[in-house]
Amino acid sequence: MTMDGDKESEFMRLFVAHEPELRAFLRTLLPTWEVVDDVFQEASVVMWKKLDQLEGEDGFLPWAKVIVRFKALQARRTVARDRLVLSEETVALLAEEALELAPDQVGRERKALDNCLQKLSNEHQKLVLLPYREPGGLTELAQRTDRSANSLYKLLGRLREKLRLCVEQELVAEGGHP
Amino acid sequence: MNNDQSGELIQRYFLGAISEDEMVELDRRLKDDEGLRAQFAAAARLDTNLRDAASSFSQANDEPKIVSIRASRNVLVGLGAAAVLLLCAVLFLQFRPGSSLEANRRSPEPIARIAELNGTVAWIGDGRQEGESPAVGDELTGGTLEVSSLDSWAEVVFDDGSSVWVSGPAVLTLSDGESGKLIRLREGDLSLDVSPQPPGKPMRVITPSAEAVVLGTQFNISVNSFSTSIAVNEGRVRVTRLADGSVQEVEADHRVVAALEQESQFKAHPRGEHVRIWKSEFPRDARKGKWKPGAGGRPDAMQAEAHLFRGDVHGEEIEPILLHSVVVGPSGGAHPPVLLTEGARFRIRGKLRRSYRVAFGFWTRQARGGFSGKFATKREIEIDQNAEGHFELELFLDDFPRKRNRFRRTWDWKYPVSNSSHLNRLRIARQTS
Repeated sequence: MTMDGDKESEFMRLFVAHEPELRAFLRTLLPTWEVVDDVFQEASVVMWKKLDQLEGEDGFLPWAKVIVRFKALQARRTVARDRLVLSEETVALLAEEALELAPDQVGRERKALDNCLQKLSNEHQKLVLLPYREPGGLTELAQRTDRSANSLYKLLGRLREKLRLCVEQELVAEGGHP
Repeated sequence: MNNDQSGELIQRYFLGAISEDEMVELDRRLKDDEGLRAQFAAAARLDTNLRDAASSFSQANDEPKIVSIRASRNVLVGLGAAAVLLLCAVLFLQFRPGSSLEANRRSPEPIARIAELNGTVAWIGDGRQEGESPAVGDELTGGTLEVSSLDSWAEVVFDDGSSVWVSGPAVLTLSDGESGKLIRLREGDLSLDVSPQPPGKPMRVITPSAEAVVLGTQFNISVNSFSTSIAVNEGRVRVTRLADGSVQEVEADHRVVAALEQESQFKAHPRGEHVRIWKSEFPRDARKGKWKPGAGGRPDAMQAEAHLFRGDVHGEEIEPILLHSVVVGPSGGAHPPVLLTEGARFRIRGKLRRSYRVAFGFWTRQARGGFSGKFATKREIEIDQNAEGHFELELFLDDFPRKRNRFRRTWDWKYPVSNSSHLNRLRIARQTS
């Protein structure tokens, strides 16, 4: 890839195009979205600084993942002081395997997720999206509906597992691998 | 522990509800089981995609609506850098008289030209490569103008003299067909001075929440994620709220707000008095940045959003700079305009990861009319680690050097690369002492 002249716009195009894959990769390695977002920002700065090392458009995602992995492992050590985190060995294994993921996997699963969400009741749709829309919303909902937070988490966990399996089936049904 | 229990552990992990013992167990199982690691990675991707789906989910609507597009992704998600705050104040733009805007996507004929611009501006249109930077005097056919950064702005003048002044961040698409001229504004602020349009061919301005039909007038329009605010200075604009098709005729010195939902009031009313005191409230006043609802005693905040600043395009070459920025402003919603007078103070409360040089700026409109200027200043914010990065700053109006009216010069925003920053509150007040 020629990155002269318009290299920044080309970089931004690739960066934006692969953002979901990179965020998903980070989410596999880090315990919270807060940490993911911080590391993503730090990693993107490093990518920008090391842009000259990038060879070819096709090489962007693997190259970016290497940078992201490095920053994620660094961050894991830092957050391990005050958070529950997976061991370094486990995170390294997850990272190694996630590097092999097909480049369009996250995008295909995103589309499948839309179909799967439509199969849920309105109430369950709202529930699975609530943690992202309203941090702390689950606890409030539990208080409002007089249910225990634990039972709500269990229900949410079941719904998410159902969605995960549904997404897998959707991808098989469309003729690809899950 | 069986597979179901492993699945439950994984979900509890991603929901942040896992206990210490459960974490140890999950870690042990992941280490030993490649299949479970694949399941874990799939759950991480699901978490990512659910988060994306949630951002496309209509917050204003009680009934869930799942949108399949990635509407929340910013075209210019960028990297690094310092916090830049830009707030919009006062009202109404002054604009040169103009007339029609001309553009036909199918026609190679130019419909308008770039009269002025500054900062990161990209044009995607017929005959141009994607994201090409336009120059002053360039003729435009139909296409999309992206005015990306906070200091960016552009003025487009159509063949009949009508002018559109756009302040970044904003994205608008221009076209012209048999039914007349059309501007689609996804986000941002426009000020239009529209010459009388041919009979049966009004200019239309379409936003995510409203459609304005214009025969010839001067008005300002502000669009954010939740609503469209239209303030008319001269003439009359017919505004349709897209949520329910209801229509309001907005006369001179009146304004209307069309929200994405139907519950809020949709009625044109006199512009009313200015206020001199304003305090930000999120997400109402959010213009750019990521809204982080408060929790556990933590206040609502806007997290800075990264973008790439490529500098002025008027001959001066600079290396691209990575910035983080937050934009808030009173002009997007139903709040009355804020009048800045001598002695006005700005109180800013926020959070930085470490000490940075931070730029603060705002742009203003004239009391009845268009854009009147941009102002900016910079401050070294030294973070007291005991305060966990929180800072509070007070700036006076005199602290902001005025940039030229309709300036052409570069905004000299060069800052070291940094990490995330938050804005908790911005307040404008009269001087009391």
